[in-house]
Amino acid sequence: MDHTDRTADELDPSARVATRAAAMQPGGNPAPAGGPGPSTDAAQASTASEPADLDRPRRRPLSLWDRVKFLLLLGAVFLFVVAAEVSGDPLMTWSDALRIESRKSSWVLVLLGLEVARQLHMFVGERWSAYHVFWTDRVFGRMERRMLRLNDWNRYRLSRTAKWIAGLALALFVYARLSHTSVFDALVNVPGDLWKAIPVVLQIVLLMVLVVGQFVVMFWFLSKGGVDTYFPEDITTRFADVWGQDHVVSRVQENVFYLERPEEIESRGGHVPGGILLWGPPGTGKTLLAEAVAGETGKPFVFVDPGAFSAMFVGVGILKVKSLFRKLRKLSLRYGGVIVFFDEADTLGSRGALNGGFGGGVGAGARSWLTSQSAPASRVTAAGAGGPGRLGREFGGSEPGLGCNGTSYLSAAARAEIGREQAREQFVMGGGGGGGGGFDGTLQALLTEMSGLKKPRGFLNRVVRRALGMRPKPPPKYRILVMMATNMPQSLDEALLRPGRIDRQYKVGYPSKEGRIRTFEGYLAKVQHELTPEQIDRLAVMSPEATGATIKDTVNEALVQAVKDGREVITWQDILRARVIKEYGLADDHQHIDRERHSIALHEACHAVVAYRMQRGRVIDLATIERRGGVGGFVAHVAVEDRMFMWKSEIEVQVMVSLASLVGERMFFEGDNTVGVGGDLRTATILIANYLSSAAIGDTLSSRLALVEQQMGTLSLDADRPFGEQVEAKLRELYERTEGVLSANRREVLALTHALETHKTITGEDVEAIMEGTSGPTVDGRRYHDSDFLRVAESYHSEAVREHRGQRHDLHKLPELGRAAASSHAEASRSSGAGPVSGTAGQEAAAG
Amino acid sequence: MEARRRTVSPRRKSLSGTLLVLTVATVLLSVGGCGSPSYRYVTNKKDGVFLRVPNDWNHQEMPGPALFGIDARSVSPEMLQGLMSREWVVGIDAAARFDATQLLVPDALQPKGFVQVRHLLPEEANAVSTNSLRNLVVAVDDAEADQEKAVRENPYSARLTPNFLLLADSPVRDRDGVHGVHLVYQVRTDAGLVTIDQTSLLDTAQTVLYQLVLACSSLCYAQHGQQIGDVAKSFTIEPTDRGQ
Repeated sequence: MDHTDRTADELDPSARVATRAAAMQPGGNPAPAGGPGPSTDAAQASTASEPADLDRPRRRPLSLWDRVKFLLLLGAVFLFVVAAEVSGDPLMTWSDALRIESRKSSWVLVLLGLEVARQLHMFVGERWSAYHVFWTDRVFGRMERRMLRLNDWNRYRLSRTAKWIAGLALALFVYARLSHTSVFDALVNVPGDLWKAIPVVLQIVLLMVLVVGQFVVMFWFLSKGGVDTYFPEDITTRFADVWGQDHVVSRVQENVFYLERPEEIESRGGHVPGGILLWGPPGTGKTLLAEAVAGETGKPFVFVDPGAFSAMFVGVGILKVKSLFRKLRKLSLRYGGVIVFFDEADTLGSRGALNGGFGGGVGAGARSWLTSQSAPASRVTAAGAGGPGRLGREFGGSEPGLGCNGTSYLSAAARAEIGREQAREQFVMGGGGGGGGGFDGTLQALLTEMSGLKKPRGFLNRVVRRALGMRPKPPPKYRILVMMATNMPQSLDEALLRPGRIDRQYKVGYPSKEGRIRTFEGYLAKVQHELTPEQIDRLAVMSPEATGATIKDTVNEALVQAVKDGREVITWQDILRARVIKEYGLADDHQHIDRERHSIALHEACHAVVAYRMQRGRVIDLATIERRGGVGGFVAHVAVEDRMFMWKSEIEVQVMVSLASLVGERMFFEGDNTVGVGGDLRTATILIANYLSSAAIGDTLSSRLALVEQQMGTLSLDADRPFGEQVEAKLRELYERTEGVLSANRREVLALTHALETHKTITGEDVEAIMEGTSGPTVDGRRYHDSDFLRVAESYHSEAVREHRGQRHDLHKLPELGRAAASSHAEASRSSGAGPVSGTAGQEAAAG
Repeated sequence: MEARRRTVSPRRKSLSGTLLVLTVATVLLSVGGCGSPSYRYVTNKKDGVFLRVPNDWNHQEMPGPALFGIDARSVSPEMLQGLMSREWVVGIDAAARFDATQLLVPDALQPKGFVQVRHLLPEEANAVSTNSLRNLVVAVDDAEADQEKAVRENPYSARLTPNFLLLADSPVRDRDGVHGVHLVYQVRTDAGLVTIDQTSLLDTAQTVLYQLVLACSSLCYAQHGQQIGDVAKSFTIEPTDRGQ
C-alpha cells in the first residue's frame, strides 16, 4: 500500500485521483467536506498507514514550477521596470533605480509579497495537517457552508452584486489614478465630475445617435416599396371577367364572403379563413382572379410585388415583412378586414432540406400535398405515335400511387406501407426542389406574422399595464386574408401551407371548354374575322391547354398572318396557320430530297391512318413532314374527352399507332425500314413494358413495378418467362394487328402520303376529308377516292421502291391530284364538323 | 527503496528551490523597501536631457511655455499647443517645499533654478549663436563692459563693490556636437548680490536649446556652491532626433 501510494505521487493527477478514490473506498472515512484541499491529500501521506492519512489530510505538494511561476513573473516585471529606469539614463545608477522603482512600482512588490505569503501558506499546509484543516475546514469550509445555505437565486444575486461592486471599485481606482487623486477624493468627486462630463457624454450620445440613425433611416427606406394598396374603386376587374375558372371563382368568392361578413361564421364559433393559395400553370388567370377579388371586395387589397422581399442586406426582408403586417393590421382594424396578395409566391422560397424530417423536404411536403390534390386526368392519356417531345408528361399514368378508387379499400397498415413508399420517392424528387432564398429569415418572419397575431402588442399595453398590475389587453381580431399565387407550388415551404396560414389551396388549371370559347370570342371580338361559332367551338376543342394568354397570342398571330396576306379579316386558315406556328413552332426551311420525302410522308401517313381508324376520344390535330428541329415530321393528336383512366385496348391502340410506321415501311418497302422508327419503337416498348408490369395488359397479373420497387423477387417472374420475352410477344401481337389495319387501308395510306408530299402539312380536318372522301380546308379528299387514284399512286410508289432498290435514279414527278382551293371549300369544311367533341384533357405530338 | 529515493528527491529540490526563491524575494523586498536613493533625477528621455540633483532638492515640471516676448492674448490654442510641445521646463528648488512662484527670486536663501529644453522656432534658430547664449539670462557681455568701464572710472570702489563679476566662463563641447557655454557670475541687484550658474547649450544643428540655470544669493552660493557645481556638472545632453 505504501509503495502504491508513493508511486502514485509521481503519476499524473488523474491517476492519483483514481488511486486515491480506490484508497478511500474501504476506509469509509472521507476527508472533511470543506473544500477540495483535504480530499486531495489522502494519497500524500507516504509514511503513515491509510487511516492515519485520512485523519491527517494535508495539501497536495505543488511542483516547483507552480510554486515559483508567479514569483518569477512578478520578479521579472520588477526587474524590467528597474532596467527601464536605468536604460538610456547616463546618470542613473542601478541602486538608485531599484530604490526609485520600489516606490514608483510598489504594487509589483506588494503583489510579490502577497504571492510569497500565499506560497508560505501553501508550504505550511503541505506539511502541517492541523494548519491545513484549519483553513480548509474552519475558514473556507465554514464560509462555503454558509453560502450553501442560501438558495441558488440568492447566491446568484449576491455574486452579481459582488461583481458589480468589484467592477465599480476597479473603475474608481482607475479613475483616481487618472485624476491624480486618492480613491476617496475620487469617490466624492464622481457626481460632480459626472455632471461636468454631461456635455461630452451628450456629444458622444449624439454622435452615436447619428451613426445609428443613418442605419435606421437607410433601413427604413429600404423596407419601403414593393407593396401597393388598392381600394375597390381603383380596380375594374370583376369575377365575371375570369372566364373558364368557375369552380375556383366560386371558392374564392366564398372566402371573400366570409371576410366581408365575418359574423356569419364567427357567430357560429368558426373563424374567417386565413389564406388562399392559387396554383397552376402560367397564364391561367391567377393574377386576374386576384385582381377580380380586389375589384369585387369592399376591403382594401394589398398587392405585394414578387421581388418585394429581395433585398441587398440581410434583415431588410424581415423588416419589410414586419412593416407589411403592421400596415395590414392597421388596415384590417380600420376597414374590418384586408386582403393581401403575394404574386409569384415561390419567390418567398423555402427552407429546403433544413426543414427535413421524415418524408420531408419542403418540396416533398408541398409536393406530396399537391400530388394528392391534382387530378391525374391530364396525365393518363398515353402517348400517340412515337412523339419525342411530350412523352414525359404522358407517362404519369404509370405512377404506382394511381389507384382507381384511391386506397380507401385497403387497411390502414397497407395504406401506410404505400404511403411510405411514395414519401420516399417524393423525398428524392423533392430534395432539390426547395427554392432559393428564405434563408435570411424573411420566410420565417412571414410564417411568424401569419400565425403569430395573438400576442398583446404595444408598449403601453404590455409594459405600462403590467407595471400597474393589470393584464395586457388581448389583441383585437385582425381579419387578414392572405392570397398567394404561384406556378411552382413545390417551391413553397411546407409550413406556409399548413392550416391556419394558407388554409385553402385551389388549383387554377387550364380553362374549361366554355371558358376557352368565351376567351376566343372575347379576343376575336376585338378583330375582324369570319369564323363561325362552330369553328370557334372546334378551335376550343383543339386547344385543350390554351390559356387566356395563349389564346390572345394565337388570335394575334392569326391577324399577323392575315395582314401578311394583305387582308384585314381573319379566316379559318389564318387561325389554323397561327395555331401550327404557336403549338408546334416554325418549320425549318428544309427541303427533303424526293425519295426521302416519299418515305417520310409514308411513315407519317401510316401513323395517321392507324390513328384515324383505331383511336377513340382523340382526333388528329396535324400531320406534317416539315422538319422542326431534329424531328423529320410528326402526327399530332388532341384528346377530346376528359377522362381519368385508359383501357387496356386503348393502350394497345397507342402502341399500334406507334408501331404503324415500322409496319408501313416494311410493308411498302419490301421488308426494309428506316432507323426513323427508333423513337416509335422506344415509345411502344416503354408503354408495353410499363403497363405490362403494372396494369396487367399481358398474360401475368403481378405488378412487376411494385416488386422492383420493393427490391424483391424480380426473378420470380422471370423464372416462368423472361420479362423481355413477354414484352416482345405483346409487341409482336400488336405488330400483326397493325399490319392488318394498314393492309385494309392501303389506298388511304397512299392518299395521305400524296397529300403530305404535296402540302407538307395538313390539318386533322384534311386527314378526315381524305379518309372519308370529303372536302377539307386544304385538301379535297374526294379526288383520292377516284377510281384511277390507286393506280397512279401505286405506279408512283413502285417507282419509288425501284429507286430505293437502286434500279432507278430519277423519281417520276409527283402526280397532280386532289388539289383544292381552301377558299372554295371553306363552307364544306365547316359543315364537316368537329367530330366527337366534349371536354378536353391532353394533347400530344408524335414524331416519326 | 528505489521508489522511496525517487519520491524524496523532487521534494528536496522543490524545498530548496522554494527557499531560494523566497530568499531572493525577501532580499529584493528589503533592498527596495529600505533606504532612499542618493539623488533625484530630472530626466527627459524624449529630448535626451539628464540631470541629477541632491536628494533633498525638489523639482517639478512647469506647466505652460515661457511666453517670453509674446503677447499671451494673441496666442491661439493651437499655437499654445505648438509652443508647449516645443518647450519643456522643470523648476528646481532646494527649499524644503517647492514653490514655483519663488523660482526666479534673486535673493533666495536656497538654490533655485530651472532646466529647460526649447525647440527653437526657425527664426530663433537663425538668430541664435554660441555667443548669444551668454546673454540669455543676463546680458553678460554688456554687464562685463560696464564693470570694466566702472573700474576705469573708479578703480577702488568699483572693485570693492562690483556690480558684475564673472567667476567662471568656459566653453562646453560635449559628445554629439552639443556645444555652448558654462558661466558663473555675480550680479548686484536691489536685493543684494546674486550668483548665477548658467549652462546654455545648443545641439549641432543649433535648433534645440538646452539650458540649466541655478541661482541664489551669494551667501547661499558660498554655502551650496559645491552642490550647485555638482548639479551643473551632471547636466548631460544626449540629443535625440526629435528636434531635427
